[in-house]
Amino acid sequence: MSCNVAQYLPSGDDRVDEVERIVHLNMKLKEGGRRGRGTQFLPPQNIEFIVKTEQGDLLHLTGYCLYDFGECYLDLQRGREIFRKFHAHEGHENPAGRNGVVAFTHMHFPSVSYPLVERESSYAYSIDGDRYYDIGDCLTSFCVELNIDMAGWQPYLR
Amino acid sequence: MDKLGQLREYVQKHLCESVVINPIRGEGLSLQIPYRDSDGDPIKVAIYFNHDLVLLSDAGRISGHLFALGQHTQDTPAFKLLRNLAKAYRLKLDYDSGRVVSTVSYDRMDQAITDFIKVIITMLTAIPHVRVEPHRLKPLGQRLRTAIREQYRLANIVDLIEHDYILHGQAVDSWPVDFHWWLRRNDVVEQIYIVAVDLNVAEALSKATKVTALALDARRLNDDHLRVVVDSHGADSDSSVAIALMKNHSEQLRFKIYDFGQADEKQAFLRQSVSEIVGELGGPWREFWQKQRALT
Repeated sequence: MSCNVAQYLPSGDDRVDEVERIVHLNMKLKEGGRRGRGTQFLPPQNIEFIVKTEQGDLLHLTGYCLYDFGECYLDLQRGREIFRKFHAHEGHENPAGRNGVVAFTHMHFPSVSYPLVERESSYAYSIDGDRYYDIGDCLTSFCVELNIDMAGWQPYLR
Repeated sequence: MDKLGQLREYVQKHLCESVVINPIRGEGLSLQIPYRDSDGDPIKVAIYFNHDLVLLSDAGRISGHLFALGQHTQDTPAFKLLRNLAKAYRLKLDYDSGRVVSTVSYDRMDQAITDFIKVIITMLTAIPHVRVEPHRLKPLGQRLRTAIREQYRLANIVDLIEHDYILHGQAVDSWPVDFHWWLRRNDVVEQIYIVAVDLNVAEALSKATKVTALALDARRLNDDHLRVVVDSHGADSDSSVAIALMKNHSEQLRFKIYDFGQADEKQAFLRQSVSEIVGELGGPWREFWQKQRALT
């Protein structure tokens, strides 16, 4: 079961109910994603998946792994609305320093006051995890955290 | 501590002490600079020694940002910005590894690091601001719009109407509305949206579906009116089905359909437009629109 994020929020802020309703549904990973035309400048170990919920919502999962730094970045979104960001890197600070220092591996989530948009920090909670040098490990951690069924997916051969 | 001392301490802490250098795999260093990207996360540069040369790398962070925002193809504005910066600062885009790199001699390293940091900060902070807007929907009836505009010109009201208005919606970000004005009735403002739909060319059914979605967005306020003008002249079976589909929904979604191919409906539509705009209810609109036009 996915984490109840309300526990990480200060009074006066609240979780985004519609987002939490969807991420707590049963979800399944499917191959596929957007395709671009022409030459593409793609990050190292990039991935793209469709995530389908039990109610038929289609979400989009993209990510990449910077193996120079052992860092990893995954985004789960619907259209331009970001539901979760799984990040593995140092130095994240929650808004107003809430919950102290956040661990190297952490999950961003939207709140009413701090939605997941660019140009602004957002809340994140810590997750167990070390440096990632393979996107497959990162993807597995993400799917375990959000209870996404990975049946049929196989680790990449490198 | 005096104020200058406090300021010095603040700058020291937030700029100087936040530069962090750590070893990384492959006999290199990671240099964390005191600036944050558009997500509020720290920015790093990887520095590797390669015999007598130094290799600077973003480790794939820039391409990752482009990828996350869907701007990783060469026809996007963010990618064009990157290509221009790479050319200006003699950086290399490594398409195989997804990294932006720069190889310099040891004695040029200080300037190269400064240039590299300029590029990486620009790309990691500016990309959200050059994000591509979703593709705008094309107008649904360009030929008919021209015909209506000609009739408005003959009636001397063409300059009293807003052309190419954008209606912000929920189903899509922006709907193309061909003509727009408003009326003030008993201190209530009623928006009038006119959408022309060519049904006698192509994609009649698809256009009818779009009109019904537009009608859903346009009826969010009870006092707003959507008028759909169609041209079914020389109608084929598709356009007949499209008109039937729109008529089915028009009562529930409260929009009106006028067939410009039928003389009586055409006259009724034009009479209504003219009487609203030049009549008493349109007075505040005329005043507003003439001021707007003078400003622009």
